[in-house]
Amino acid sequence: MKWWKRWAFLITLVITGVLYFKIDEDLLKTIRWENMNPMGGEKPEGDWELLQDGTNPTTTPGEALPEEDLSQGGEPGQAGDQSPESQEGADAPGIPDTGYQEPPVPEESGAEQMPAEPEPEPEPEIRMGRVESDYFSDALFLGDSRTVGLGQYGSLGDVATFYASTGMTIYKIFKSEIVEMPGQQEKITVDEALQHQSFNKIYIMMGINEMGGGTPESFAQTYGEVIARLQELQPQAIIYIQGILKVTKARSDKGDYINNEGIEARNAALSLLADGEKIFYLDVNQAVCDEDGALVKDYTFDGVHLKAKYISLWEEFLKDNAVLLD
Amino acid sequence: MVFSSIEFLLYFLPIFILIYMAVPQKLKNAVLMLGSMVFYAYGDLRWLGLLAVSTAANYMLARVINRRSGLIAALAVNIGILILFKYYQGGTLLPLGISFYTFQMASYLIDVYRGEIEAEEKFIDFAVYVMMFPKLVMGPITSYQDIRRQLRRRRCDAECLQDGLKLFILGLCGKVLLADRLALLWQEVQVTGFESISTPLAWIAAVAYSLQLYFDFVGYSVMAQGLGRMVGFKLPENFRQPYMASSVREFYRRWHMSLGNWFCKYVYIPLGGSRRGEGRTICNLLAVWLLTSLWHGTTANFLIWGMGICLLIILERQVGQLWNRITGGRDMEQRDDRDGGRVSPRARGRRARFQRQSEARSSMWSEEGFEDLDAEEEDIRGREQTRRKDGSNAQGSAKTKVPMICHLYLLAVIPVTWMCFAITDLDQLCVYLSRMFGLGSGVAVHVGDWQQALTNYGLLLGAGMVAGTPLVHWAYQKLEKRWVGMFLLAASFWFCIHRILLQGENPFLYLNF
Repeated sequence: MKWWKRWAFLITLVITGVLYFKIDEDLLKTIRWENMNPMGGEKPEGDWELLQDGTNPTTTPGEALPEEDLSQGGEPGQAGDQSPESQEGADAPGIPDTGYQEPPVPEESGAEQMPAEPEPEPEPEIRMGRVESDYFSDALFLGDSRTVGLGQYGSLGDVATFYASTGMTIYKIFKSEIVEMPGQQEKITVDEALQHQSFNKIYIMMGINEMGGGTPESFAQTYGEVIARLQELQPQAIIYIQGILKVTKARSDKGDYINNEGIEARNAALSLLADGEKIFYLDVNQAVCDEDGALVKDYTFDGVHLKAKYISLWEEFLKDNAVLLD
Repeated sequence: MVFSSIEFLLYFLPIFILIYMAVPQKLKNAVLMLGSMVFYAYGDLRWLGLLAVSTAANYMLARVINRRSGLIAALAVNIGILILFKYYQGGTLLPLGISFYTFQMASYLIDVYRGEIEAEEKFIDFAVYVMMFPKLVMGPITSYQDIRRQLRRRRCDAECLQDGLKLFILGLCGKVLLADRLALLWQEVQVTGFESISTPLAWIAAVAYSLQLYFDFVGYSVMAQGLGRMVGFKLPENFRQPYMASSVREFYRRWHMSLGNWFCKYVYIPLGGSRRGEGRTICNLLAVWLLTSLWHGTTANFLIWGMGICLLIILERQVGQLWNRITGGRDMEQRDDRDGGRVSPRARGRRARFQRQSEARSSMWSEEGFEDLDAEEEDIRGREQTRRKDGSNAQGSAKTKVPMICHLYLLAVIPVTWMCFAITDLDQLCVYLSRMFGLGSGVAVHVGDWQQALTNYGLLLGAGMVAGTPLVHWAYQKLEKRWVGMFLLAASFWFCIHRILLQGENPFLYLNF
């Protein structure tokens, strides 16, 4: 038998391998490149990014877009299912009045500038307080898998608009095509969507997927740039920076880059972005953490994501700590 | 080192195979032993010492034991160590592969004591039997006589190497492309919390887990067989399309066969099997399943799982007997024969090697020497097929009339039992089962969750179901020698590498046992 026939399979394997890597060179390079350049975006999916790409299509329910996506929301009875859980949430330890950093200062109407420029104008005082669901009807939520969970299992999913996707990071929030528009097959980017839509409140929760790279400062800087762009697109909107949700002690002690010290450092940097006028910082961790400052073990399976049952704690916290507009 | 990791696939395996092929026949066993130790040390350095000591001790014990009390003491020590680790700190310190290699050495000690085999003289040969990396950490639990001949002489050439590699890739695809991806659905459900899933999703997730567990383990087992083949061994088959079964009893004759055979040979048969009356049979089944539960874990859920299976098997027996009595189809003796299947002749004391092998199902390898290996193999296969045909005819009488119902019954009941297997926390298990059967209302249930799961995983679930039929095996047989088949396998290999690079490797589920 000829040698090449004898070794036919190994030869095929090697040739296929060479071809595969030739064709896929760019992709493989991208993977490595991204590993080494955290600013570039995603790490390979880890256990904090469970849901696969496209698992949770972003939807835009609510008043901005009356036609609801079929794959989500929309089912009759959903709101009803969630009412008992809201009840439960009301008893939860949501501490009001501590969710923002800056003392109340006069509101400034057309602020597009960065936080460093205070322009005292006589405007009505900003008050924080309790609001109800309808407050969120013109609210937009931007975020990663955790926010996907909020939209899917919280009662706000029916009211507010969610541009969230698993594995989302602050670095690619404007670049990724994650927004499904009714009647359109192609998804569009958040940037494009915000050119057509208008929101009065924008809630952001991102940062867990970014833990693997950069420093708190570099992270906060990009975060600030994102906010600046949001203000350009939606000058009227109040922007809520939600502090990164912490992880359980067990998860934090696992020894990789996901740990609560790192999250605290980044949250501290994020809190400085607030200006108390149009940008507010909310630390959701108060509602879901134990006395050690770690996510309560029972609230989560993987140590990172809140179980659906406890999403209401987050929601109630947001309701308790809203900027009152009137 | 996990088979489906980059370290193993692109570093350990090629380097090992190069060295292994290069060294002369005489040194192959030594190289295999050393390579296996490196493999083991990479995964669990702490307990390499335990493995080595245990291997050496059993090697010597087998040579000196000649009394029953000695055998019992030796077994007690082996099993005692296993139990100690299983219970100590809830099994968190469990040495890699201990459940598997302990059972292998126990079978070796018993077989030597019974005089079925001679105690091995060469330590290296025995060490290779215990430690060879293809089957070290997760089986198949191989009996010594299955591979005794091959330890001395085996064919290691281009053909074996490549045949093994192909088989390995087939298993790798099962693990990486099916099990690891189906695992995401189960993970999602856990992250969401069982109290917040809809009833349809509870069933979809249970089916997904059933498929995940199957492809995880069958993928591993086929990889092990492939690796074994690459280094010249033929390891026993561990699975035979279990989801094609039409009763729980049959399911567990097709699932993790090497463990089933072990319990059959060393527990069920010595206790009398099914030949000492119905009451005794039930007791024997209970004993086997109690031990099977304990082997898997010490938490209560495994007991529920095992006892549930046992109950179903006993019920199936009763229903089968009732059915036969009604239809007047068969008398008890015949029923018992087919029930005993592979085991009853052995219980009668037929020790013919030949017979034993065709009946122990797992052993596809003959001891008749490797020259006429292929002829031999075909012979055995032929016999197996005839026997299987006989078996199915015998089982037929009750089943041909209601085969579809039997099959549906199995498919409905098995995912439920797997949930008892998967969820170690009893409260959580109760929550899950209540969601499956729509008892009580959920919390924060997203009503459309199951449609979303089907949108995202429907294709994967479908692929898994198809791959659970004999179709894949059939296609593999047809195509593996052809260029198109070889190309497909080769491309799949690189695609798997690609997937592993993207998602990171996932440990095998049965590594916990």
